[in-house]
Amino acid sequence: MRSYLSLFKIRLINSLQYRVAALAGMSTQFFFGLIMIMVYIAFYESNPNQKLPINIRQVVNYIWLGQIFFAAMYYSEYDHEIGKLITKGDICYELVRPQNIFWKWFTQLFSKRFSYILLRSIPTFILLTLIPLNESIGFSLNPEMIIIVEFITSLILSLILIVSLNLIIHIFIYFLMDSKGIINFMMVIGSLFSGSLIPLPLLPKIFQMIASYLPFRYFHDFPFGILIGTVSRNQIYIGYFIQIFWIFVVLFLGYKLMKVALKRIVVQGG
Amino acid sequence: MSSYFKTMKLHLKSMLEYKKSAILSIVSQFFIFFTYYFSIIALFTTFNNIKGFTVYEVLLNFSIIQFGYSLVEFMARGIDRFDELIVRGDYDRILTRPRGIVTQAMIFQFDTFKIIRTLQSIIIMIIALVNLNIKWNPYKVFVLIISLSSSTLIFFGVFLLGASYCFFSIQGLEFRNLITDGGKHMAQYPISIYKKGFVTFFTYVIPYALVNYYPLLYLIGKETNFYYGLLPLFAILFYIICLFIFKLCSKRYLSVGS
Repeated sequence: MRSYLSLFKIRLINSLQYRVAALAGMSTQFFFGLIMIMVYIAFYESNPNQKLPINIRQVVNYIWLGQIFFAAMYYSEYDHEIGKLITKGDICYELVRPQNIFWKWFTQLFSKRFSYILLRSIPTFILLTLIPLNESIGFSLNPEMIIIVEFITSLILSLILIVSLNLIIHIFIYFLMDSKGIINFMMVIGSLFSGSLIPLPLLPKIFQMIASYLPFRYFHDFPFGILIGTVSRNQIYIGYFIQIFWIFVVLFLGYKLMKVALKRIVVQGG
Repeated sequence: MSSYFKTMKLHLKSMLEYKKSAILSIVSQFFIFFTYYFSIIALFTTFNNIKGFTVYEVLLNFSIIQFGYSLVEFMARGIDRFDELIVRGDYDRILTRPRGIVTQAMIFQFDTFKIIRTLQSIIIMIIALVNLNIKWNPYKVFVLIISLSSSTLIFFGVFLLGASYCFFSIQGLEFRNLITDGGKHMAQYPISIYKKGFVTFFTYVIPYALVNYYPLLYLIGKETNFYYGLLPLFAILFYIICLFIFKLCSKRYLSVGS
């Protein structure tokens, strides 16, 4: 266990080096967030008498939350280091080491996600509160303490789920030897059903229904929903339960897949 | 110019060698582009208009700008990646060859499968046109054709501007992406839905609005003055300015030595 913790610490410090790239990424997100907000404001202003399940204030805050946590929630990120191990076959060197490779990669990916919280999310959040935006487009959340705590709990669970899914993607890369296809597919399906493309309450009913059976909504829609109020009190605890369920399912699948993948290496010998 | 098309054919052939990878790339391009127009269509099932524009009007606007962008991404990726040419020192090699700099920059990289996006934008455009009650006449057909061509020309110009900047510095290129990708993203929707500052910027500085928004107004009949249909032609002027700036900046290039 201690070896995993030290690995986590080393990786974290490593990731914190990439500051310039972070700044550039942040400004891009900021701009795209603004564009989305302006489009939604135009939609809402054009249809003032329409009954909608979510109001413009909630949509604006939701979009800013999405920008704040963009890097941290990027579930289809391709880790080049792990990918190279797979495609080049250097994975056999990893297998000789005393740590379980599945958990080792999990720790690696998790520390990366966590570093993004420190490196991107917190600075973006600070930036948003500092920059004087017109109040119609600004970030204006003011939740009670208990809601913040509930949100953070959900966020931690989401991160674990995202890392688990990310890990499965990399194991699939091992089977398919091509990263682009799987990653793009996950990106499209995930962005649609997580609520990152369009907030789920604004999607046609049938998509909302499909989304409720998939794990993706626990990346964006559920944790942010706690903060902006689209998730009601009793739904929160059911949501936690479903998140934990999905974590088990995905980790179990991933572990099994890894075993099958590793057997293949042994068979090919060398 | 023929060397350009020969290279394009070679790239295409080599891409198709790896059949499985090619199919995956085609499917990926299709799906990613799909999310762009899916967002618009999905939002219009909830809202019925945006500042007076209906779903097919927005889709027409969207398809014109996406057509140009994807075609330029397909044809001139090398210009988008101009910084790589300079960093690797390959630019010196280009200078020694008897062909034009711009042509050579275009061919050093190809994004073959972006053409899938161009095809999709044409399909979306056709769907939009079929569902709009446009009173067609030969002039309006002409306006549509020049809108599509100008859309391509304007992005070519913007890419050249980005390449011109590379002669000065290779840092800060993400901000160039804000104008190309971000600008395209904004121009998907009729530019009038945004605040006045943006409308001014995208009409007079980087005139995306001239190639899709104003012709759109004329085609759907919101504006009847026929000059609106001629506005895309300003993209030619814009392109010439960008080309001139590029040639000017290339003179500033100091080789890193080899």
